[in-house]
Amino acid sequence: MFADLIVRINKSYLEDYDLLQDKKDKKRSPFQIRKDVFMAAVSYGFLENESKPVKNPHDLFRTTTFSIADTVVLKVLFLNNNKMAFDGNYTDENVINQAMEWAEVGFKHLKLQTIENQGSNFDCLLEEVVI
Amino acid sequence: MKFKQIAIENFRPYFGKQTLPFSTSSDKPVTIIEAPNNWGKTSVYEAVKWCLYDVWPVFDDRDNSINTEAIDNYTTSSTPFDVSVTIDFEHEKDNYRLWRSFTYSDEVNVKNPDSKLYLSGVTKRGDNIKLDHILDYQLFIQNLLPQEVSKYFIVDGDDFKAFINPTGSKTKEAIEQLLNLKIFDRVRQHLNTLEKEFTGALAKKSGSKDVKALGVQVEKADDALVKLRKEEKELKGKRDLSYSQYKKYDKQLQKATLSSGKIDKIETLEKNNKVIEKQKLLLINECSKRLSSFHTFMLKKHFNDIYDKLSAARKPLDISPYDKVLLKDIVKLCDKNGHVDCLCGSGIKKDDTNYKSIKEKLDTLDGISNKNEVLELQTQLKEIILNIGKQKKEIKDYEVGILKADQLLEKNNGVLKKLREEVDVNVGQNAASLASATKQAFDSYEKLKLNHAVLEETIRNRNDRIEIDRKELAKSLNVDERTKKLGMKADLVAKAYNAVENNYETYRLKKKKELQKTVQKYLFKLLTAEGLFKSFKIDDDYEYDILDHRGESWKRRLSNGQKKVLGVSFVAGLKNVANEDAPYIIDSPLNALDKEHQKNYAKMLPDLSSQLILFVTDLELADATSTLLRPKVGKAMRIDWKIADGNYNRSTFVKGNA
Repeated sequence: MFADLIVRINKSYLEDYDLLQDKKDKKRSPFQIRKDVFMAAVSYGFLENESKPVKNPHDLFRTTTFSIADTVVLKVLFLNNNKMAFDGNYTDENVINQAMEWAEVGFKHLKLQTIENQGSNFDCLLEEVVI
Repeated sequence: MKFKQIAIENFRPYFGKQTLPFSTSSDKPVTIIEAPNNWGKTSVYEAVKWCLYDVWPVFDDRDNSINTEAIDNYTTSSTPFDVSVTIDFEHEKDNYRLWRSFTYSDEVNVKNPDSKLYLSGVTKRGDNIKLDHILDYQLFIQNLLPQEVSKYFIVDGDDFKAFINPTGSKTKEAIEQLLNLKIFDRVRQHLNTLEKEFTGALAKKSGSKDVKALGVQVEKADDALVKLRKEEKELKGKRDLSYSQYKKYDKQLQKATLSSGKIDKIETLEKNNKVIEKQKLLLINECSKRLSSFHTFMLKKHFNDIYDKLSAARKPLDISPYDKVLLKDIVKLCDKNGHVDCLCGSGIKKDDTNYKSIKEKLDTLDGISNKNEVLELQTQLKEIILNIGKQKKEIKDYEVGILKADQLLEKNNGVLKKLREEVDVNVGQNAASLASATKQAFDSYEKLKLNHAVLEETIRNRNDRIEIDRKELAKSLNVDERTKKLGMKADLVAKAYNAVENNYETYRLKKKKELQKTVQKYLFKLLTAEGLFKSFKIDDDYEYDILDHRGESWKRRLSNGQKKVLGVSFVAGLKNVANEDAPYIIDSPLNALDKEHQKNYAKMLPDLSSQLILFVTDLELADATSTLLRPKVGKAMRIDWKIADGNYNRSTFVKGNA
């Protein structure tokens, strides 16, 4: 588990975050909560190997929201990025910051893949998964 | 009626058949049969009465009236013989033969033999002709000359005296019959019969219905029927209209029902679609839940790599604190000796890979301390990797489900589109109201149909009833007409009866007066001492008297001859007034009369009847009398008498000296 920290994102992403996690229309909003969108954005940032400090950060949720699996994913991604160095850099804050930076970039890819893609967000994600 | 002849067979002194002809000439109407006493004159007179009226002559001082010689022959020979009297007569220009007879045998009652009467027509040649139209011969004779009257036509001269007191109801009846007074009785009787007949008929008709009431009844029924027919026509119109309305609604309902069916189908499809949508949504939701771990699917191929890296990162960490000391000793020995040899045969040399690795790890103390965390990360990552596969499979299944749902929805929507194009939604939606309207229209039609049928039946029944009444009316009208006629007839009969009653007395008095006058005329012609008498009187019982100028009765003071003259006068007057056309047969007409009276009588006799048959003795036919009668005598006969076989008296008719 992480220490109780705040996960922040680019404030300009907030609307789209909410769009992608609205409970009312899962076609439009395939994610359950903001954290899921964040994790997807992190994965895109990680995969694209791009990260940037969060611009105009906005509090999104607390780290207590993460599940153990999320924590594991974020940590292993961090460790992988730092050559598995369990040194003094391997802290919760660093892990979260790294994740936020990946998300900063990755969200654009996520948006490109969903909101800005043809078809519903759900179908777009589904296609990504199934293929 | 005029007698033409009489044939007497085995009767009284006439053995065998003896025929006596009579004059039927209008100019010479007199037939004289002359014979001494006891030669058979009276027997002819009796034969006539027996033949006409079955009056069998019975006398205490005589044997039976059957011929004695014939009976003796029968006794000897046992051969039955006939006893008969045959009278040939003419009446209203027709000729008849009347005969009465019986066949003698031991069984015959000689005091009152059963005889048979026969009547036939007679041709000019003398042959008999059967008279089918006459059923009762006796009645026929009775109508020609009633028995009660006959005693005034077939007269024994000695009986004239008896006519002086013609008492007795039968005599009175006979006189009244001769005077045609009996015709009133017959008329009365006839009128009574008619009255009874009409009254009975009217009584029967009284059971008939009152024509007027029946007519009114029929008229009312007709009016009612006309109204009913009008009502029926209107009802029929309403019924037909109702039927049209019903059919219209029914047609619409059928269309609506069809649309309604399609609407139902649409609704079902829509409902199904909703279910599918819902299921699809559920699938999407479930899928979304899995997609929430989208990042894991994206990172899956890296996780295995990372896992491996974590394993690599764990190696230097896989040293216990004891091993750390050992490693430091190994490094120390290697630095010192250049190598460390292991008991297993392997060894580490200074600056080889293992030496460097150990030295490096000994320099990074943190890594060693995170050994457990790495293990934990690996375990959890492993779990994540496994879960990704599981979730991906689930997502694929959900995707299939979603695709199927989409296909179904697409298919259903296609059907729905088609159905929606076909369905008249408005009509379909009005199906319920149309059904209600149709039912209402049908009920209305059925009700009107029933009412109409009932009305038709009523009309039929009433029509039948009216027909019956009409027939009854026609019948009653007919009956009424007949009843009226009967009533009129009954009235006429009553009037006739009253008229008869009113006229009877007048007629009776007139006849009596006429008789009285006529008898008086004859009487005064006959009587030689007419100057002594003033008038002749007859009372209501037809008892008569002769009065002198002082008005005194001479009835009891008359001599026998005068009595006979009075009787002859009465019979002559009676016959004259009666104007009865029948032979006047007188046995010994002039007996007991003196010559003067005989002369007077003889002078008058031919005028008394259209046929006069006189049985006389030689004494009666004195010269003067004969002279007077001769011009009027058409036939003169004589009875011949002789003793046959020394024992039997035989009388026969022979032509006399006219």
